Amino acid sequence: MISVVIGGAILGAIFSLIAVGLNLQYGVCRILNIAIGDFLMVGAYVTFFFFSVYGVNPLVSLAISGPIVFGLGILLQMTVFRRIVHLSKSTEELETRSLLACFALPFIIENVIGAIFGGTPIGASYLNVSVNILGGMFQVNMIVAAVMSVCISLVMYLVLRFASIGLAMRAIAEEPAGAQLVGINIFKIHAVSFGIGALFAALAGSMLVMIYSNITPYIGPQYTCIALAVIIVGGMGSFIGSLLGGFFIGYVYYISLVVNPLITLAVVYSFIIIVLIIRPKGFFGR
Amino acid sequence: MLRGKGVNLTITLPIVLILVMLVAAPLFATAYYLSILTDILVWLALSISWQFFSGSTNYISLGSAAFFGVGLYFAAKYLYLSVGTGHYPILPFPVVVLLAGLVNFVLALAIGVVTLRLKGIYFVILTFAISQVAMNLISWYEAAVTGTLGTIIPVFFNAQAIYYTMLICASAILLFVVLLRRSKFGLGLKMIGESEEAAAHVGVNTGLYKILGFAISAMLMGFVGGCFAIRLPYVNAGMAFDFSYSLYPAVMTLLGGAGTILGPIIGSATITSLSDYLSVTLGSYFLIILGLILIIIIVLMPNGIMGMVEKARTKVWSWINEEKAKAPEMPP
Repeated sequence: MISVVIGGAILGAIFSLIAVGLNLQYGVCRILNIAIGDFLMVGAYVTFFFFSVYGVNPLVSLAISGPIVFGLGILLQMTVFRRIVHLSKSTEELETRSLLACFALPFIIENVIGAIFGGTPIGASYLNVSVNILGGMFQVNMIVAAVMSVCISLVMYLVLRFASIGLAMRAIAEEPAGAQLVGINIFKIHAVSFGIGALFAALAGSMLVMIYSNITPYIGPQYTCIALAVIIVGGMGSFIGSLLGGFFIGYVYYISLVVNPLITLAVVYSFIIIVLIIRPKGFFGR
Repeated sequence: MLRGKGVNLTITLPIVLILVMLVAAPLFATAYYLSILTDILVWLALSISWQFFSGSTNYISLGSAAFFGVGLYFAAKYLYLSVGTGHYPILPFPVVVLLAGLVNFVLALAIGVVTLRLKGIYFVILTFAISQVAMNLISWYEAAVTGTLGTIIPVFFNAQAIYYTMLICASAILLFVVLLRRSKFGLGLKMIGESEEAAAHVGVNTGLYKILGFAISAMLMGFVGGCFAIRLPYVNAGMAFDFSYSLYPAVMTLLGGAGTILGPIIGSATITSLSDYLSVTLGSYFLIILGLILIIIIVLMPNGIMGMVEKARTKVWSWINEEKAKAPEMPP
């Protein structure tokens, strides 16, 4: 019992970090980045590279993988998605068009990484010791990853709440035209938000690579599916929704993993369908 | 233009020529080119089925794989009945294909009733999730309950028969869609794509039209899936519900031009032959190039090839008209 409570929470913390990034990208830029799992995978591989070649501590290499993927995200936003924003006549058109572009991204990212590192599973095992919490055995690296994920999410919350750039992001999410009128550089904020979304995914990936040793170039879609379920359940564009939704899906995932590992993805996708039919705006959406 | 009653030569002649060439193709094409042609026909049929609903209503569906897969599985399971008996099962193959389509029609009707309230990105995600759930559930069912992964499909047809089956399937779907596009129903769907509110105001029953359109499109995909079954020696859920069956029809149609009937044809022929050529020359790297091409299409050609052709044509026409206006009037 206690293992379900804590195990689900650990997964949930990491899931909500990915979902917060995805939600930021969707809320501010109106881009539903279906390739978010591949940014995660790139983060994992950057960490693995520095770990295996230079022996860099995976926790330290968060400071390397984060900025690299952040830059990648900004580059992508400025080259591809900015043009799509220009081309689209309505928000709906922008959303579907950018979604299709995001479906094409995994082809490129997965195969580039696959060409460089090969398809064999990798891992950068670190802090792989078990500790007894209230009668359940847990790996230290999982707990570290969960605590860090929650901290990063909370920092993002504070930034959104109090920093001026956070205010600008919220303004664009609520009223893009109005935000432009009051002098917010909408393209700069778009690029930064997209970059931060990619950054969070990369951080999650870097932490996952020190827990699991079965990371391949093709794990992306699995995490995309989870992040998608989280923001659908929590509500697209709602920060608190993706934070709490992350924990919810974390528990769902953990329980179905315990029951039967084969049905996990089916269960997660079913949650997407059920929530979309019952309450399309999600439980915290406006 | 030569538009009017009676036979329109500028349109009929190329169609008849292409059809004759396609029918005669097995006589001179090598096995390799015949298989590429069959591939093109499969994608063409799928793209046109996709275009019929999503292209005209702008409800982008990424659930084609679900319907294609159901059709494929249905036909495969039926053909599997012959294993052990050694002869072909009772029902003729076209009937099986029709049944596969019918199953899809009913399935899509049920799905459409609950899902078509959703718009835009929500509809995209929902259809995507449905195809994924279908795949995962069947995988799980096979692994946990029946204990067998996938189905062996006995071979009853040679490459030429498969090619002709696909040709008939694709041309029948094309004909059906062309006829339906001009009808009140087809125009209603197109109007929903332009502006759903306006369509509702002038008396289009948008709810019914959308559900029926979705179901018909799914039925056509079921036909394609059913016909495709004879091409494979073995099928499992991962193959039948592969995401590419959802993504490619959408991308091919968008490349060609979403609102037109020529669009999916051009798009599927281009992408299929291109990806085949690239996979031969570049090996596994071809997916990188394919991804880049897809992004370039989406970013640089919002209205597809047909959109560019249309643009060029209006430019040429306006140029001709300007020249005419400049020319001095003939003295009486």
